[in-house]
Amino acid sequence: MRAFAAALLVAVLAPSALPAQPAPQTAPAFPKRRVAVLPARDFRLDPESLFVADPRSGGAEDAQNLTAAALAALAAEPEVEPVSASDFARAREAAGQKGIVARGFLHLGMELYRQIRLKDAIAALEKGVDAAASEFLDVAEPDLASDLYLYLGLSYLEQGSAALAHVAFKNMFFVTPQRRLKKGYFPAEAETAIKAAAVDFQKTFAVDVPMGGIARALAFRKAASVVAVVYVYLTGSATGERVEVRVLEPGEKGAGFSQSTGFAFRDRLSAAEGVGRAVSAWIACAALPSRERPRHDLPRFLMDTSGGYALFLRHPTREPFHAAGFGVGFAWQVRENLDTFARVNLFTSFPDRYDDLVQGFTSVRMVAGVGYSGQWSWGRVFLHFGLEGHYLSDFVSSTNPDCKLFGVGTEWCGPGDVDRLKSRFLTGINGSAKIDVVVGGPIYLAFQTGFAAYFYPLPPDSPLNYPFTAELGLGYAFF
Amino acid sequence: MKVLVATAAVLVPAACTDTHVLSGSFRTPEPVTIAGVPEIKERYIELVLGHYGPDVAGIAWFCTDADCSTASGPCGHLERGTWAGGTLRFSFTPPGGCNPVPETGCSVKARLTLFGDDSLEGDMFVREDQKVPVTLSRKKHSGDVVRDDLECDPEGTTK
Repeated sequence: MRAFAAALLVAVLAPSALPAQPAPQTAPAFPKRRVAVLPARDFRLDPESLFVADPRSGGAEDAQNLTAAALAALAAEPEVEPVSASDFARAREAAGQKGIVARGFLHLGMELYRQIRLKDAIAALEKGVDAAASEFLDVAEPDLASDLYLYLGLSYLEQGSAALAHVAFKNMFFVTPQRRLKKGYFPAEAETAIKAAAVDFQKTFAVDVPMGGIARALAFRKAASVVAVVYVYLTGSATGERVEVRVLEPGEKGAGFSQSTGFAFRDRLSAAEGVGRAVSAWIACAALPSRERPRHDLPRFLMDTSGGYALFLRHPTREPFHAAGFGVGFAWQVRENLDTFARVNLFTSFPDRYDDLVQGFTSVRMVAGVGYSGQWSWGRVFLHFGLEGHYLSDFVSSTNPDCKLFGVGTEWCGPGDVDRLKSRFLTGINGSAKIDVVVGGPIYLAFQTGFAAYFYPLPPDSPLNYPFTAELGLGYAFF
Repeated sequence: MKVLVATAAVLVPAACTDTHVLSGSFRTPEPVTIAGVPEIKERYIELVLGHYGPDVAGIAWFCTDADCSTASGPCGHLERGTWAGGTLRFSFTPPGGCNPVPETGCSVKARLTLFGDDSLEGDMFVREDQKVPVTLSRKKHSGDVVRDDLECDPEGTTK
């Protein structure tokens, strides 16, 4: 019984005695930025060992190791989705682009070459090269692109166009620098030309530009739907072997390398670490979604002060009278194209032509409502709609000249000779258009024109109605 | 084009000032006698006018001295004062009435034409056949008129 009670006590108390399990925290989900890694290329060419007994044996391990290191460094960043050449190839196949055209031209060109129909072979192979370039097969299927250049070079050579053959062989080395050829398979003249091309490639080819040109690399970036392209390559010279890392991405001043670094190649492990560090260094400064400032480009709170003019289109005087004053306005940008606003004006009237406005009046006008706006780099345009309240000091008008000369309330001007408003407070609806033109920084020039219709007091007790206003002033966008 | 500009140069200022050109005071340089009105006998007539476009209001003073400075004269309130085509028309009931009283009622009528900016010329009469030519010259402009210039009680005696 005691044991049961003890067990029960433990069962009740144990959960409260245990430390509380931390609630699983979910990191905010940011969209991933896709970054492509081109197959690393090993440009440490040895022209003397191009022709071997077994051309399929090894040679590409160092480059593959560097490609894997770059992909691993990118994969370590949660906001980056690395895209390898094989990913790109799979996406192409899914989209129905399988390099069929280029492959077809390759086989046709090879067949024509064997039949020594060199002109036709060259035409077919050139088309194949074009098709391969347009489909970025030098990334997705480098062996296919390499074969196209090889047989194009051989065809040119057989035709006697040694210079064009030389160019084709160099392009082959750029696509597959570690390619080895079967010794004795090609004529001695061809072997010599290929070796010469390899020697020249080492000396003159601009291997530091990915895919043979910035424009083409940017086209690949677009085709692969990636934000940046990572390009790693190995070079060898008399001074030593080096690993170079380049990251190409568009910047504010055009596309260029946002990362360009290199280091000496000692062994595979240290080279892989070096590539990882270089890629991580780029990631550290890259524009990732979580690092971007929240979009707050548009000012939210605007205030302006202005000089204003008003004219009532319906008036008890025989001729219209004018009013002038100043105003202050506030606007709060609720959404990108929606704002709320409030505006206060103080107006003073001027005499009309016949002095029918016996007493000048001062008025305070208040408008509040919502607006629709468009914002551009040069400024903003608003359409505002709201309710308007207009309070006037005593408004007295008369067409009796005695009231004007002797004054209201004298023996010559009785109450029946003057018109007064039934209410000093007028209420109605207001519509206005406003243009803000940025002068510099947050300061802008504000022009506004508006129109109102008063429905209180109801006609015919509203001899003063339909005010038109225009204002010009300066404003400030606070934040 | 030159004609247009010249016309505009003449008309625009005229249009702007035309609505208030009479405002101020005008006085006869010589004493005037209006037949049929006993109170206006050898009196200097002074008109204090307020001009508002087509409408004119004012007071007519009948003084014994040339400056109209003493409270010696009766006055009358202008009625139906109009301004049209450069001619001022008004009437007033003379203080003390008419003798004899005409069949149309006792009312002094005036028809005066403005010459330049400072001279009103025309005639005043109770009966059409008893017109008295009068000439008044400006004494005050609009801003110079003071409250006392308009203090004419309904009996027509205060200044």
